[in-house]
Amino acid sequence: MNALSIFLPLCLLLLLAEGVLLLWLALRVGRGDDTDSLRQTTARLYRYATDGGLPPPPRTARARQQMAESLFSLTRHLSLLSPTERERLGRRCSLTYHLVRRAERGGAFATADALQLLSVLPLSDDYAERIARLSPAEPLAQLYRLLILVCHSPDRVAEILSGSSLPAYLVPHLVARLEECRVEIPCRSLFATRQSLPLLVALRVVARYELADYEEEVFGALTLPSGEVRFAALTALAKLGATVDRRIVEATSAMTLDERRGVMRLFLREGYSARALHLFDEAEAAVGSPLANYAARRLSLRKRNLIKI
Amino acid sequence: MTMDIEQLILLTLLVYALYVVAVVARSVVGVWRIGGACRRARLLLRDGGASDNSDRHTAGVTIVIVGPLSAGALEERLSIDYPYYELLWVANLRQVAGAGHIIERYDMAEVDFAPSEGLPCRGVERLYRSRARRYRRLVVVDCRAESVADCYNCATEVAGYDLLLPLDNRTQLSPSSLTLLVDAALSRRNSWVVAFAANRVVADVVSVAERLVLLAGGGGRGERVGGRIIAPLYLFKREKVIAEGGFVASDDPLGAMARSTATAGREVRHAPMRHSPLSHAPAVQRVSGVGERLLPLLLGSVTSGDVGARSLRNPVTGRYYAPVWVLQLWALWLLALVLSAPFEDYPLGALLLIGVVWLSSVVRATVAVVAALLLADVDGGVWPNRVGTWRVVLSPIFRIRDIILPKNFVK
Repeated sequence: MNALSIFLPLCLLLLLAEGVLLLWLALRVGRGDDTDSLRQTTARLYRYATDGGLPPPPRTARARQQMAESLFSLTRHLSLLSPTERERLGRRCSLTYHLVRRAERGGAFATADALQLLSVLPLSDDYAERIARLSPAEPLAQLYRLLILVCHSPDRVAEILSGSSLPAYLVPHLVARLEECRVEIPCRSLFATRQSLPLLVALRVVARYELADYEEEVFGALTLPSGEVRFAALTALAKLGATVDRRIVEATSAMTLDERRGVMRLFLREGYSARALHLFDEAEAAVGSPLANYAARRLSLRKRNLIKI
Repeated sequence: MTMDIEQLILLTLLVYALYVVAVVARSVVGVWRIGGACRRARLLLRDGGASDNSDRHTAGVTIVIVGPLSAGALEERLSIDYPYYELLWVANLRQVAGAGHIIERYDMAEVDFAPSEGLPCRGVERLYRSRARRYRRLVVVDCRAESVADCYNCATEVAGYDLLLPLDNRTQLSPSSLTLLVDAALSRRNSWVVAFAANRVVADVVSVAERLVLLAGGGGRGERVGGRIIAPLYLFKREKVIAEGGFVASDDPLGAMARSTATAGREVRHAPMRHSPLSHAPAVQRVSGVGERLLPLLLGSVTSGDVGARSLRNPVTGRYYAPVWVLQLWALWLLALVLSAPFEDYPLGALLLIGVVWLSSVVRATVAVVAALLLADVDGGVWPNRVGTWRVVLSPIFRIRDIILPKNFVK
């Protein structure tokens, strides 16, 4: 059997398949930007905000996606459309229906994308229930799911946060978005839950607005087993300008050297003097740690050198 | 048991086919990761990016620039739209034209340099901070160290924030790249992240493209994807750099640091305070897992059809595999042998192996084009070089003609 007689047609077939695939890719991905159509969609929504004329429903999925993106951008950055107008637009143009369906059926990024676009659309109870049933693994999707649920029923913040999960690094994002949506966060009830996510949110709010009334609750969070909560509590105490006492030093004693150095730098960044941090120094010196006298050494990096050489 | 020449050729071809399949698999994974990073970047930047509510950015970054800078270049680097960062410029000020003007312009005052972390840093002459509140983020280190590693170590000592982004003096960041890098660092919980940024080189300045930081592991410095230079940007956690003992002088101190933190074994470097007199809480022993540390290395690399990129580097060891042109010569030799030798006994095996090799090369070329198209797409502009696309699309035709039917081919 001649190998060449089979090999050549096989190569040609593969070549043809590759050519078709690459042609499709070049046409699909490389067809250039769609700035013009996006601009037209944004202009229609702008006219809707100013004149009240509803834009025609988009016919294709791509046009629907563009409309949702324009709506998100206009709402987030310009605050042009009221919630009633957004709800009407979402219903009339089927944006809510299709985005919820994509959030339920899509992959990780498609779910996050749909939930992000949905976060500016007021939802009915049915849709909110369907969103509540989702349990996405992507952190950004978790963030937008929580945002949608809290904005839908702001009086159930503690309940919603207690039953959800979110990485600690996204808590500032969530608090910032809730602040933009003017959602009132009941810090005391969040502290009372003694669960990780509500505590992180409450500690973030306390640190953000420097709410000194909650100082005892923050000290109480130092005794919790979660390292993230303890670090957030230390951050809040540093922001509040609390006196460094034995409770704070005890909370850091189970940390590693790197983490303890991070805590001391945190207090130094907030303007604490070496004298105010002397309890840290004593604790470190007692165990022969290289962090003894750390605050004084760090602060000398900012001391003016008055001797001109 | 003796092995005849046909079996030997088939065995060699099998080894080569397996190697090519492994390379292609890594490429596909890399492109898949690039696609995911692009979608994630799109999500992040659509929701505000760098210039929105500054409260959402809680992680400060210390940008370290080593090397001489002009006053204009320094001004540009001070204007990145990210709320929490400081710019640490490490240079030998004797070699900087107009250094005195810069010191005067930013109202810099000399401060004490007192190392507190015990890192090896030599050659620090002076340390300057600005007295003007609006330039408080600028710190200048007059360092006459001969190695870049010493400069990085000095910067680690002085750094005020917990994330370090070392750069050379030719690289200029876009505002969104910092946002994306910090997001990657916080979401992955690794001691470092590496970002592949598609750059433009204009007048000897490498400017990182707006809206584009592609998070992917592996690869080497100076690689190209889709005709664009790919420069890895490393973002380190300061504590990890200190725990590793600082940067070590070598050709690539940043890569060496990334590798040393990634390949470190399961060990506790610094035990917690077990016998603190103030402690009543049980001591918790933290063990950093190897799997967590190796995560950035398992992301795959991106290969391209560009000649300059046809060498692969092992991201763990930093050493090059065999250059691809050697492998291609080997493949040509094997193909010539296979096509000229009679394979009456093994026609199916020979065809299968040849098919695998060919299919792998086709997939590899496809992956290169997909990567190029993805880069062009997320760059925010129109695909700049459609002719280039068609050249890449049609290249296998010329390749097969050259390989299969050379002019002196006689069967």
